[in-house]
Amino acid sequence: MKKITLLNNRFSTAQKWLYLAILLAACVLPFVRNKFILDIIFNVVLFAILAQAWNLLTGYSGPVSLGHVVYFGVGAYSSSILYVSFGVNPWIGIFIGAFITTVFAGVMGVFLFRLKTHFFALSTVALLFIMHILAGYYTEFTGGHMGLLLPINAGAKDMVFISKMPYIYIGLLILFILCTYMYSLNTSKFGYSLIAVRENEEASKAMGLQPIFVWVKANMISAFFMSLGGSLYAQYMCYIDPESVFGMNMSVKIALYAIIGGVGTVIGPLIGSVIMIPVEILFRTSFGRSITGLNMAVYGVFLIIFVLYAKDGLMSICMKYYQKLKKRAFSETEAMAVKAAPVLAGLPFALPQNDHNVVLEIQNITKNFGGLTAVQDFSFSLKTGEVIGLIGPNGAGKTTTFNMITGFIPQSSGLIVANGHEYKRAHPWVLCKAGVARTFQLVKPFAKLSLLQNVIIGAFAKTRDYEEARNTALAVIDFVGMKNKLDYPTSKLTVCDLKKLELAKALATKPTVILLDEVMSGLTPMESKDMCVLIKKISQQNIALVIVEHVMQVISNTCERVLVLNFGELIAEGTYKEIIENEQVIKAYLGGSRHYA
Amino acid sequence: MESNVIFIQLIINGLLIGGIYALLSFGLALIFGVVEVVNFAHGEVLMVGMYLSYVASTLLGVNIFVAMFIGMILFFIFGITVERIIIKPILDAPFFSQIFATVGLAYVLKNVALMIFKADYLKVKIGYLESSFQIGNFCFDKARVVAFLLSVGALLVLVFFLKNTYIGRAISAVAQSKRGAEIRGIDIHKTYAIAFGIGFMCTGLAGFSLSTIYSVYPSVGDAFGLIAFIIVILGGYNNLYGIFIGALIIGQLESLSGFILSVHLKEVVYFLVFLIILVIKPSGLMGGTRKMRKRFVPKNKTVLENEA
Repeated sequence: MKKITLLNNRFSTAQKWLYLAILLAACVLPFVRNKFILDIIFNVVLFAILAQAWNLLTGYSGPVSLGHVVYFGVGAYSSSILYVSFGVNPWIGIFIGAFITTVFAGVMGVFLFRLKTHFFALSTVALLFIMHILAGYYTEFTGGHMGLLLPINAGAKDMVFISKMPYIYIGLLILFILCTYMYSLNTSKFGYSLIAVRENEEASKAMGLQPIFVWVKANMISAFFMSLGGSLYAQYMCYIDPESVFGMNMSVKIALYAIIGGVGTVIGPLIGSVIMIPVEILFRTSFGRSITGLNMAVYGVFLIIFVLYAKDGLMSICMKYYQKLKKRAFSETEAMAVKAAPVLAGLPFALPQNDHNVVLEIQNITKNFGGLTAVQDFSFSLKTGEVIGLIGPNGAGKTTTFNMITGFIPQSSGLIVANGHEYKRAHPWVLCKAGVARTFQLVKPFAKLSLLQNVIIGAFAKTRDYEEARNTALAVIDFVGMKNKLDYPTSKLTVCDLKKLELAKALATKPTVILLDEVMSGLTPMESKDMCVLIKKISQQNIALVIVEHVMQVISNTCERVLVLNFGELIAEGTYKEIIENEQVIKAYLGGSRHYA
Repeated sequence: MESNVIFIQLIINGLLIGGIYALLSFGLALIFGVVEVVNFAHGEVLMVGMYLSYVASTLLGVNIFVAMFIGMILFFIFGITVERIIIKPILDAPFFSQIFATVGLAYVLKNVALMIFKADYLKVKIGYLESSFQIGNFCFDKARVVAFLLSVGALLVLVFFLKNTYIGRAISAVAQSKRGAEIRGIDIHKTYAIAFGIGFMCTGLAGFSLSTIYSVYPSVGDAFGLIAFIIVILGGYNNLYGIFIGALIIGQLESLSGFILSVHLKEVVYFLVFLIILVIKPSGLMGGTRKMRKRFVPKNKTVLENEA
């Protein structure tokens, strides 16, 4: 099976091996006497922490932070300045420093994550430059370009040791905590959120996630560990200067280690550091003095080669061979899940039948794009389990209406009342939590995840508990009839399956109303019929549906009521029979009086 | 009176440097507009230009204008080579790969320069450009004036080229719509390569110009590369005039903040300006990829009309 999923329980064997390796390193360490080797080990541990922290943001959640080392520097400087200028004990100082850095990362994140892709990367470089220059300029505390020398009072009390050993143990402890945290992401809401915003920002909004919030949180957690690494580094060297802690080189190195090992996996950055750092240090000590720059030039070549030919790093190459060896087309845990899943006729969260309950009420929504009014004073209401169709010729404002109701376009005026709560210009994630779900016409699956994991992301909209989300997801997948494809990566699904997946994701958010955007487009007549059956099944669960559709047959088959839009205004409303007889509707579609038809 | 003179002098200096920045940024904008890849090695390409200038004029004693001419041809070939080897495989890759492939290139260039020339600050010395002349109370640095005139001249030639030749129009067409250009029989991959060649040529020329003013060292491209990005974001990816205005603004900012605040903080000032602009108007000035790929030619020109 091709490139499976990053968030999978079956990595737990890898987790055991990792812990064993850390434990082994900790046990063997006292027998290593050679200072040079100890220095290499310290560097491996330090860079493993940094690469892992970088991986948390860039590998898991997407934004490429090129100047991520800025948080390392802020941590190093804040704990050192606290120690040198204010006499704060480093044991306390590193946590104060980490706190400062985390807050700094949060504030910066709120601003910088408004940028996307290359621009975010650039902005982080600019931030790094600014901090580099400022650290050199404000000499009063930082010591400027001369650097900051920490007083060398050897002793555990001041976290300054003569031996390198204690530093390595502290580093291993931080690494252990970080890796444990990274593994816990496999089964946590936050972990799934990270992958969701990385794979598809728009779709993640419809799943009740607020991408900026997810990124800022990831940035803060990442910065926290970067800062701990920075403080440890400062204590280890007893000296820091702007170039060593705010250097662009270091930023690129961290990224390189993670990329070589494999971005987006827990093991990857560790493997990258374990392989690359000893090589680099040996390389530097044997050639480096005579040819400065050679190592970074070689790194540049590595970076290009890996990005061009092995983007997923050594980890994924190994996994590929491992899988070929094992020939497991179906991972064990998921296979067990299929057996365990209860067979359900309906959804476990079917709503109580109550005909008078209005689940969605749209009051006079209007949208102006500059001078153009796309939708004007459009109102309707929807009862529990009702299915209505929204039709109109091209450019009638269907999609705009649709996007306004789901929060993807803020309405110019008007009100949306969902389940008794009023929403005005609400964001998609707010409306999702209010019970308004949607599907996308051009399907937006979370590409690198399996079908089950896709649906779990939806299920996390209403719960924080992994087991509960998983059970909901399993039930929903069963409900839409894709139980046999649980473990399929989305790349293996057919168009029809992807459309059903859209529905399943929407259903998993436990909505009271789902808006379907041309769910039939691209389907064969047979598949279309299937989908109609499914739509009826959903409405039997007392979930209301709004269907935007061009295929009239579907509308006639499923909808109890049809609304017709033209030029942004409601021109007709009624049953399907009434609509097709309506003069105005015929005129809108055919652009003339009746005899054209 | 005295402070007035200094102030105007600073504005003149800012204007002159702004002209060179415009050329520098145009190289970046052209590549970004046409190929839609952000070249993170832009500053390093500039650095190569500066070193080339140093090698030719100081070590080999070639006339700098002759060296510049040969250098431009070399840069064109350099650009095409980079496009073929590094950029072509990642055209459809996620931005993650695009960023790190070009960052990798930047590190190769920077550190090869470090290996060859060490970290020393080198200065291009050309006797007749060292002095300055006066008009009224104001002093004009000859090197800066020549560099400014060269840059503006090169920009004018480029605009003429983009508007009036087949290749130029093809480039503009691809910048507007890849598919549209393809349907009209334009080989877009060839266009990408040429855009890279021309982009590198502009950047190399800017390197030659800057080398007569600033010292050369391996990491000189870091700051200049960011400046180019700032200008392109200020002025818009698609708008040559916007880029020119952006370059002049940054030139002024650099010149004035260096004087008013501190020479050491001038970079902080425009990096802050950059961050603030990005953050305040992430959509307006940046606008997502759709808006970026618009055009390098004025609206009323129909690019493809003469092709059929």
